[in-house]
Amino acid sequence: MKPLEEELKSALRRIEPPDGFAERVLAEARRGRHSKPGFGEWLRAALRPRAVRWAAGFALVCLLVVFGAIRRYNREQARIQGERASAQARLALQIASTKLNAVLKVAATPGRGNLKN
Amino acid sequence: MDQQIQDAVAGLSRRDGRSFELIVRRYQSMVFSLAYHFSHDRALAEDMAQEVFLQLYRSAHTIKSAAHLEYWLRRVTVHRCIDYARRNHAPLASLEDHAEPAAHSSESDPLLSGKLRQLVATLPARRRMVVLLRFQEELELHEIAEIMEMPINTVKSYLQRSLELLREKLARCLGDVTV
Repeated sequence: MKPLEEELKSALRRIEPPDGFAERVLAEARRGRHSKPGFGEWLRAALRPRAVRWAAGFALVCLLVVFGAIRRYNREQARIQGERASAQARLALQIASTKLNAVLKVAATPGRGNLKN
Repeated sequence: MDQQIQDAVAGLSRRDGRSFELIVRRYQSMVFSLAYHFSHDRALAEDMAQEVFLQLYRSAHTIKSAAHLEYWLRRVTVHRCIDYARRNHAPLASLEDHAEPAAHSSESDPLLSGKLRQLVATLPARRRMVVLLRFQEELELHEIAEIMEMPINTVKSYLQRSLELLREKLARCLGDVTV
């Protein structure tokens, strides 16, 4: 038996297409019926070169990083605003409580704080 | 590359029908065989080969020389086949159902050749194409690497691994025969 490589050359030799193949191709070309490539085909062809695939992948990763960073920034801003609002509310409550305590103290002093007057 | 094809390439850019016809007739077996040995489906191979030639007709102005034409045809056929396999996850037709085209040399065993074609059709798409380019087209490794846009070492390892697989499968199919 011949070595596998030789057998493969023999097994995979070129074969002729079915009869009338060339005529059908020529007729189709003459009719100009062959459609223009669709968007999918165009995109696949455009992304075929390795460098373009890498560039597209890199651009996609960059885009995801930027979107992630923006989202994180927005979330951080919301958290800071929330904390600020909460601190202001605490301060307002503290002021109100101080004032109320002062009023109650005055009211509790005999002879001065006659609430009935 | 003969002068006739050189002239046909020049004519092709002018959309000369005769030049296109000459090119189709000259390269039809190369394109069809690549598609057929890849897909193992005559109708599909014919469709793919037809699409390749129509794409050539549309891209005629980009062809610079006869050598470029041959490279372009192989490259477009290869990528069409691989795209097809990727889109369809290469569901192989029942290999037993297909009648093998005649045209074997008298030296080769038709049974063994048929079995080998079936086994090649079971390889993963890119490896199958590397095997076809190497043994049908008899291309050098660097030429395969260029057409398939992969490093030459990948081509080497694909080829080596495919041959090992084919040896194993063939031995299993035919019994313990040294190949």
